[in-house]
Amino acid sequence: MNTKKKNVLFLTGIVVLFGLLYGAGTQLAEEPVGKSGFDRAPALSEKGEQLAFVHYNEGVSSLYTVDASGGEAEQLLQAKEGKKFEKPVFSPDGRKIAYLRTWRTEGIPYSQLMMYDLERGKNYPVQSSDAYISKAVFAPSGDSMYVAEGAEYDEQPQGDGFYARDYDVYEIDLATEEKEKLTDMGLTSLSSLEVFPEGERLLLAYYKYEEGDMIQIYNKNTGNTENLSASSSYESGAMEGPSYGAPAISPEGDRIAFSDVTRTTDGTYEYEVMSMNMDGMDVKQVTEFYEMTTEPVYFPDGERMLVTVDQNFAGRTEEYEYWSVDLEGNGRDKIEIDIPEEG
Amino acid sequence: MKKLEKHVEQILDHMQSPEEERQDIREELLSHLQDSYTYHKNQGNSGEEAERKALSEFGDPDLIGKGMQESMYPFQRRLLYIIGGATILYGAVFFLFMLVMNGEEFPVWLSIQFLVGSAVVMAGINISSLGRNHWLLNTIVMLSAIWNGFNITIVVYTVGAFVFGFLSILIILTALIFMVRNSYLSSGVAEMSKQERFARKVSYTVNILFGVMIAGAALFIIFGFMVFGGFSWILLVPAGAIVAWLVFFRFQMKWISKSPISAMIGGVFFLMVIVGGPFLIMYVM
Repeated sequence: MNTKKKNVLFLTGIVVLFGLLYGAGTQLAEEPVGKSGFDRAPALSEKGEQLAFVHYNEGVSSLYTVDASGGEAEQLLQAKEGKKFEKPVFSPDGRKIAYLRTWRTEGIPYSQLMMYDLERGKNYPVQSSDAYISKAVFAPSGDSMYVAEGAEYDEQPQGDGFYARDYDVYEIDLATEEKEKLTDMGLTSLSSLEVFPEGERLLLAYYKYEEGDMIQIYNKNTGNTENLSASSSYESGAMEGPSYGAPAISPEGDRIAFSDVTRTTDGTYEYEVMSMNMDGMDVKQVTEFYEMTTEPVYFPDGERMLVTVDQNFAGRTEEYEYWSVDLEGNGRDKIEIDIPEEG
Repeated sequence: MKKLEKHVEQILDHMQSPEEERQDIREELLSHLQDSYTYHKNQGNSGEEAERKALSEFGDPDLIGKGMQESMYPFQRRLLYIIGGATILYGAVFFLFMLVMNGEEFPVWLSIQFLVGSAVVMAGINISSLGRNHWLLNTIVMLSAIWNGFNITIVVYTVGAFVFGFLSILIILTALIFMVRNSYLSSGVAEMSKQERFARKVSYTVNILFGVMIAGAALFIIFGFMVFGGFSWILLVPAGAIVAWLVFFRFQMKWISKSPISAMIGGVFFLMVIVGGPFLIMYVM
C-alpha cells in the first residue's frame, strides 16, 4: 500500500472513530438535572429521639424529620424554586428547627437563617435576607442563637460570581431579634460553629492560609481564644493535615469529634471520623467506612454517634447515608429512611 | 531506466534519511541496479527483460526500504506509531470513562487529543517527507508530550487519576526516548568513536531534559493561572518559553553534533534565562 493510501485510510479511520465517540457522547451525556437524595449534616434532637434533615428530589430540597432509628420521614417544608435548605438544628426544647435557606442572585450567594415551629407548623425568618450565614447553632438555654456570618462579598477569582468573606461570630437574641457581634476576627471562612454544653465557650473551625485547618475555642465571657490541635504523634492522611472537618463536641464537653483523611485510594481521599480529648491527646479513629465519613454528632447518652457517609465521594453526585456508630466498637447501623411520595 | 529509478524512490519512501544521506543511498542503490541491468543486458536479454530481471533480483522495494529504515533508525517509526496510537487510544478511553462515570463529554478536548495523536502517527506514515527534518519530528513529538503532560492536570481530578496519570507519564517517557534517539541518530553517529557517541547521547538527553523542565515549569504556571485567575494574555509568556526552547533546540541539535559538552553548558544558560525571564517579566508587570 502506498503512502497516500495509508494517509487516506488512517484519516478516515480517525474521523469515523471521532464521529462514533462524539455520537456516543451526545447520546449518553446526561442533561443536567437536579440532584436527588439526602443532604449531609442531619441534626439530632436534644434527647436523641428525632432527626431533622434535608432531602433533595430532582434539585428541589425539603426539610424532613424522622425517628432517630429510621422509618417514614415527615416532610415539613419544601423549598421554592431557586432556593435550597441547609444545616438544620433542633432547639434545645425540641420545639423548633432552625435552618439556612440559600440562593444566588446575580452571582451573589445568600444564606438566610430561618425557623420552623414544629408545634404551630409555622415558618419564619430569624433575620433579613441580606446576610450570609454559614452556620447557626442554638445556645443551650434556647433563648439565643450563635451564627457565623460573612460581612463582605468578594468576586471569585475566575469571575464565577461572588463569595462571602470577613466572617465573625454573632449572637442573635431570639426574643428581641437583636444581633451582637462577639468576635472581631474577619476570617476568610468559618465553616463550623458549635457550643459547649455549659454555653460559655464556642468551638470555631476555619481554614487559615498557609496554616491549614484550625479549630479554636472562643470564650464569650472573657473574649479569649485558645487553639486546639491534635497531638504531634497523630498522623493525618491529608496533605496539609490534620483536616478538622465538621467538629462536634461530646455531651460531657470533654472530647471533640472531627472528620479527617485517613488514606488516599486512587487519588481520592478517604475520610473517617476521629475523636480526641480537649488537650489534643488520645486521638482515636471512630469510624471505618473507607469512604467519605463526616458530620459527626454525639447522641445525648455519649455512647453512639450519628455520621454522614458519602458512598460516591469524588463521583458524579453525592450519595449520602446516615449511620449510627457505637463508640465502644459494638457495631454500626444504617438509618433507613423512607421518603414519602409527594402528593 | 525510469523503472530502476522508480524502484529506488520506492525504497527511499520508507526512510527518514535527510537529503544528503538520501542522495548517497540513491546513488548507491541505483548503481547496484544499473550493474545488474548491464549484466543481464550483456547476457543477451532485451532492455525490458534486463530491467525486469535486475528489479526482481534486487527484491521487494517496500521490504528493502523498511529494512534499511530499521537498520539506520531502529525502532523510530514504530515508536511514532506507539506514541501517536497510544495518544489516540488514551483519548478514546478517557472520553468514554468520563461519559460513563460523570455523564460528561469533552468533544473539544477529544478533538485536540486526536489531532495530537494523528500528527504523530502521520509523521510515522510520512516518515520519508516529515522524518527527514529531524527537528520538525522532534517538535511534533515534544508537543505531543506537552499535551500529555497537560492531560495529567485534567485527570488528576477524576477517580481514574492514578491509572490515567500513569499512562500519561508512560506516553511522555516514550516521547522523550524517541526525541533523544531521533536527535542522536540524526547526527551521523555511524563513523564515530564510542566516546564521541556517548558524549552526544548524554548531551542530547541532558538538553532534552532541560526542555522538559522548561515545559513543565511553563505548564505549571499556566495551570496555576488558569485555576486561580482564569485566562489571561500573560499566559503567552510561559507558552512563549516553550516555543523559544523548541526554536533554540533546532540550533542546539547542530551545536551538539559539533561540540556536545559546550552545548550542554549553553543549554544550562538558556534554561536559566528562559525560566528566570518570565518570572522577572511577571514581577515587573
